[in-house]
Amino acid sequence: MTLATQNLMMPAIIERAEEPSSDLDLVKAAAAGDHAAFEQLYYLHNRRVYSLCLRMLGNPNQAEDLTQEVFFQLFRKIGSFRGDSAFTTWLHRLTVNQVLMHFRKRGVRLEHTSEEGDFTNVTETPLGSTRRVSLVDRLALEKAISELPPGYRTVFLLHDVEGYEHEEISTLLKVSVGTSKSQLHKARMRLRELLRTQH
Amino acid sequence: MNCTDCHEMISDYVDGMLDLGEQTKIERHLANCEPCRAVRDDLLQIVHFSGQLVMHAPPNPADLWQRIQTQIVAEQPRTATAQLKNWWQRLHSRDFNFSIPQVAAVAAALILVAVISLAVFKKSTDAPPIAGQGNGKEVPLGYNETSPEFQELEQRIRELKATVEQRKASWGSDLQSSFERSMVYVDQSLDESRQEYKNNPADEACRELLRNAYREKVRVLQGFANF
Repeated sequence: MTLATQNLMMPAIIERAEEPSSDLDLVKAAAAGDHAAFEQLYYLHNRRVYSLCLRMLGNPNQAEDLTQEVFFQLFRKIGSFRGDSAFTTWLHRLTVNQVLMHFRKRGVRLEHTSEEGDFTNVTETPLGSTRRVSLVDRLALEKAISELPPGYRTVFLLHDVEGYEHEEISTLLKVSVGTSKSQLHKARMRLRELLRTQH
Repeated sequence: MNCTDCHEMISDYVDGMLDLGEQTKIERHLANCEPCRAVRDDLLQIVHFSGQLVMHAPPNPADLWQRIQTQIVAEQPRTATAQLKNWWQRLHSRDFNFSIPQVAAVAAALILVAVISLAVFKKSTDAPPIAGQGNGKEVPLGYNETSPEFQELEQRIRELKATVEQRKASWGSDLQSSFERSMVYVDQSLDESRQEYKNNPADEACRELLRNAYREKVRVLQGFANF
């Protein structure tokens, strides 16, 4: 089956379902055993889950495997969703937890990222031109993010990409708020170096 | 404030997390320091574009959905399968020395447990109707039962049935009835296990269930072949 065919199938699957329901309605139906509702949840949210996994892991195959595991865990736990937060927030947290569990199983330690040292070269060499050029484009940023050490990458993704606060990150990663802020700062500075190298 | 101090606080400044005093200090420094302004501007861009990254799609969402479904289905019969396996394993390790009625009663009870467990499993997975509903008739081999293991078990069953047929003539009606009842139960169990394995050929739990259903038929036939 070609990718084009699959892409055509995806909208068809959603169209065959009832008029698109709210996430909460789909969750209630899925929790009651409605398989079609669960499938609709999958097709509505698989990209969000996969994107987060891909960025945190940096590996498409692992990202697919983790996405599969996230939806499997969602199937198991969907009855426990009470609607006191947005479903996307709940699913997001489930995804992050699965990725962190994956890191722990592999022995990836996030809180003590080895690094060649702080950025001591604070004396910035001004650009040759007085006109600042844009440092960032999306592709370059994606590439640079993938080159970050896992610990920096995780904190950066959670804070700057996914919008978690430092208090939430500290709870998730079991580090102090100060460590989360420090790791974020180092991640941003490292990204800046990587992006400048690409230019 | 020097550039080192500024760099330490620049991320919090970009995030708007400094108090008014710290914010004023850093802005005074930035007003007079082009390199630190460059750092600030770069971080602002990084933060801005990070919040706008597009979502990636899995290469094959439909295939991934199939994998998720397979994993869900594989999870559901596991509890029933584990219970059945425990029963069979414990029984397999014991020496039998029962009388005729005891053999028949034990066999029928075990098979009844298997049938009930499979019925619960079938109901929970909405399995399609199963052909050959335990009327004692042999169900043809499924498409995927060509492995040497299942072929050997089928061969053993054929041999034992031949022995039983030879001995049946000398049995009383009670024993014959007991045998027929046992075959109904054991064949129903085998039919259902076979159908589940056919529907889930990659599922090791279903394969194990089928294997145990075959072995149970062998054991029951062995018991009756000794009378």
